[in-house]
Amino acid sequence: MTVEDMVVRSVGWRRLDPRMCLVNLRWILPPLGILALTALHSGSVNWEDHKLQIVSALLFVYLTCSEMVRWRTTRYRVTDEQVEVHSGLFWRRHVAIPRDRLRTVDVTSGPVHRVLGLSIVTMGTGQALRTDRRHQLKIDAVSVAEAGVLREELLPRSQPAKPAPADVPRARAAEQIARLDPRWVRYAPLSPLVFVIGLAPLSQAYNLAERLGIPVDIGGAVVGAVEFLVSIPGWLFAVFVVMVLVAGAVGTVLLFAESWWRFRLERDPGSGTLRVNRGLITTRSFTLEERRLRGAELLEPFMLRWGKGARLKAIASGLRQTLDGPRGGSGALLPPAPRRLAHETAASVLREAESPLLPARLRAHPRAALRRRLFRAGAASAAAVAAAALLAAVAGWSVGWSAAVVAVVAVPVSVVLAVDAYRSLGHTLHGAYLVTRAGALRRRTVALQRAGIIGWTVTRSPLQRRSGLATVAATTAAGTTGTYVVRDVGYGDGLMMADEAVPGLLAQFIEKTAE
Amino acid sequence: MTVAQKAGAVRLRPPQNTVHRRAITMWTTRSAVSYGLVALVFLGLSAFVEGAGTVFAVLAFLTALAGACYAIVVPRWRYRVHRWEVTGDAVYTSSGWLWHQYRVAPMSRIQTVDTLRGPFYQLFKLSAVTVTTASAMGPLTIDGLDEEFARDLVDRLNRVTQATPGDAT
Repeated sequence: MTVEDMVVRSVGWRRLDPRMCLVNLRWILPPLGILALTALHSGSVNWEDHKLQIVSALLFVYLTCSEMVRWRTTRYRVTDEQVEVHSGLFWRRHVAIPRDRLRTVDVTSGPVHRVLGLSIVTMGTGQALRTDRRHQLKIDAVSVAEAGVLREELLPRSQPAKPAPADVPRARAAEQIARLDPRWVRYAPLSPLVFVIGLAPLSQAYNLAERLGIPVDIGGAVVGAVEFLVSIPGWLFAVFVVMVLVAGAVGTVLLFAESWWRFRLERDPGSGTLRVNRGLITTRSFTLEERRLRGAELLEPFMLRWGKGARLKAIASGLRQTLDGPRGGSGALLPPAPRRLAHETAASVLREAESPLLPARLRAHPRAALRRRLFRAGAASAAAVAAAALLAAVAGWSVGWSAAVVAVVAVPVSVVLAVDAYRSLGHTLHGAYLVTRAGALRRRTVALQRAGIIGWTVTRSPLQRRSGLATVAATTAAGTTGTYVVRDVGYGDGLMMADEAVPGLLAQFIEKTAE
Repeated sequence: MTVAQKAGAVRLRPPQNTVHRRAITMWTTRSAVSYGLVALVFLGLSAFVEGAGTVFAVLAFLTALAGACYAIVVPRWRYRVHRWEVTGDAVYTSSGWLWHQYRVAPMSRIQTVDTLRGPFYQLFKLSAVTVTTASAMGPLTIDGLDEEFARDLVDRLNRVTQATPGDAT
């Protein structure tokens, strides 16, 4: 090893940003706020009542000390071959990930991080599918500028290790695929959250009351509230519902703004990556290598579907899948947006002339699939009616009437859902993609690259065997479950589709039936 | 390229090989022991819990009955469904009893091949061979091969997969 090597090796190590030690301020501010509030309220502070706040303050001191230790002991570096993170005082941990295994780089900044000018950089590898921490490197936290530098460094360069100044402007010319249109905010309230958020202030009020030590009889409050709602005239009840819905709508719009403010989807032709930037208070930046892209999925929860809207997500190997909450998981390529635009975006992300997700080409499934769904609807309704009758018998109401009322609601709803679920079913092979769609309340269309299919799983329940159906799943290195499913397809149809999708694999195990 | 032109006229043929017959004995023992343990716990509770003795005794009896039925019927049934096959370019398995599952993994996409031997397997000199791909769905399993035979099979599969280039995603 030459002297120059030594210099490079020691110089290569970098530290976290010292401001990270202050991030735990969030542990001290709420207790201080509560102390101040109670002091104002009662004129003095009774420390006996504030054990929780004292514990919280001690926690802050402890966390800050441990963060300082973490700052002192953590180093990281990026070499040509790998990314290394070295950390720990007593339990030394050294993680090295080969750079060609890096699949995604996420940069996030929460509110506290943003005030301090910090970002968290998370790197995912192909094995991170099950959010396994061993295969995920988190650098928490560096300055915003450093995070940008890291992201540029970590993703593959078209010309390795030659950052000539003349190249920089050309490499910066990212191609924009989509950006936020403020009119999309109309899709925000088309979410089940609209019914829930309006009730949230109540639970917050209860929380605050509890913290301030105001005794609340929660059971009595609920019973009282129900009695109150039953006793008030119909029009007042309607006003109440409208108020909850308006509050819910405002809440979902705020949530939409928080998640999708300044949303931009870009392609960087130089590094062959896709990048999503978004967020108001917490900013998120998500970068994905295009060669890891295995397809796209279109999500249409039922309310969004009524509004002709849809969401779009990427399917990619090594994509760290997070829960698909209102803020959109980490593979989100679009906020709730017009369906037509989602198709256009899918086409340009996948570099296709036309979106493979378009419904027109999908082939319907056998009628037996509809019978299965109607049978389930019948069973669910019967269960609901039986439960209602049982409850009525216990409560001493009229059993016949309760059962009838529930049946009048449950039967049509479940039948409509069953028919809709059947009409959602569809599959096809389109160009390089296997396309499959299913789901009533949450319709999901998936286009999976045929080249990304690494096996098949065919499952048949006893009832499916009787009615000539099968569930054919393509296994792949992408996605949380590792499979994309064609549900209740005709047995022969499904096998032939699988055989055609990946030629030469399944054919050797398929035989003609005697008839 | 397709095997038949008319839909509905094709089906998957069962894989060629069964697992070892000792697997039936192993599965029977395993389910008998696990149901037996639960029944024993209930029996113990019936002796020690005041006032609920009869309830737990009945539960113990029902568990033992269900366990006996399961241990007699299911392993034999499972044995008839569970088959496997290794061809030049793929691994193919079928498994289940009520729900039948057929799985295919192309040789070029296999990442690792391992054996798994729990205590019951060791008792009966059996192995489970697991074939892992890059999918999060989990490995293909051939459950209940003779120990020696499984070792040879794993060696053979590992030689083939190591000779195949690519990162199997």
